[in-house]
Amino acid sequence: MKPKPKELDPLKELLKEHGAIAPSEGFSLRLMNAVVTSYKFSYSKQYRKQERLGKWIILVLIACSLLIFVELKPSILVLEMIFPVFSFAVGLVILIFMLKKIGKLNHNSERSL
Amino acid sequence: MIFKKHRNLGDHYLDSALRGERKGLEYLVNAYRDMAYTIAVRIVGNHEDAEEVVQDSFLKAFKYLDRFKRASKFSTWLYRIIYNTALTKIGVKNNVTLELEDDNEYTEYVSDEGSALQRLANADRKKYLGIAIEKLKKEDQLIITLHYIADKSIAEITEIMGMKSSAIKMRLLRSRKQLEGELKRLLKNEIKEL
Repeated sequence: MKPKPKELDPLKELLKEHGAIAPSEGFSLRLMNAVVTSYKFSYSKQYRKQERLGKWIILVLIACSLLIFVELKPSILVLEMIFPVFSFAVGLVILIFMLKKIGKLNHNSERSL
Repeated sequence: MIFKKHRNLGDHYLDSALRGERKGLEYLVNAYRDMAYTIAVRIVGNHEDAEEVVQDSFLKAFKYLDRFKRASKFSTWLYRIIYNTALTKIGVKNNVTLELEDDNEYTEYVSDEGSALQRLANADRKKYLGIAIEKLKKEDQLIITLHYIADKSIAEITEIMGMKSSAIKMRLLRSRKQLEGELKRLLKNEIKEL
């Protein structure tokens, strides 16, 4: 069964057609310009989901690295192997910490504006 | 994410704007600019202040775009910002008091609405409509604008204006009758002039 079409409301049609007030073209351009130029994009916010994925990837990589390390039989410890791996892990942690700090700084500067 | 499906075009451009893409920002500004301006004019009453209100509101909305939780439509959220900014501009507190009036004087205009409005369609529609709308109270102008022009539901208007839905319904009915009466009066005058 076909639904009954709604009766046209002439006042509504009139308001829809002529009720809106359009701003001047000059204002429209100024508004667009103001919005586009003032929009401050935050990379830390954009990459929030990818950041989570990235952390998982890093954890997997670390787990694989530890697995390889175990496979190498830790009883035969070679200093040249431990030191670079350890340095790499520390470097990663520092990098993550710095990125977080930059993200927080950007967020705070946006708030203060 | 690439596999995320967008419910509609608005969501697509909203996500685009959140990523800082120009096309998203442009779409949102172009889509809601005219209605935002109409709402601002209805409240502040002049074009200069309305431009200021619209610009401030859009800048505010895009500054806090990441805080928009999508519990309501983006337009509802934006129009609420416009409403509050406009009220601040004219120095009115957010508590809108409802004034109950006897609307019996408008009942006589109900019967001949169809043909009168049809005649108005042949006249200078925008001009007379503007004059008729100006006769309404500011809140009523806004409710009429939001409901009939911006297609907002009573619930959405409640969210924008912070008024009770029963009050909105009553004002909508009353202001509609008043508007119809005003249009008929204007139309009668116009025909007399001819």
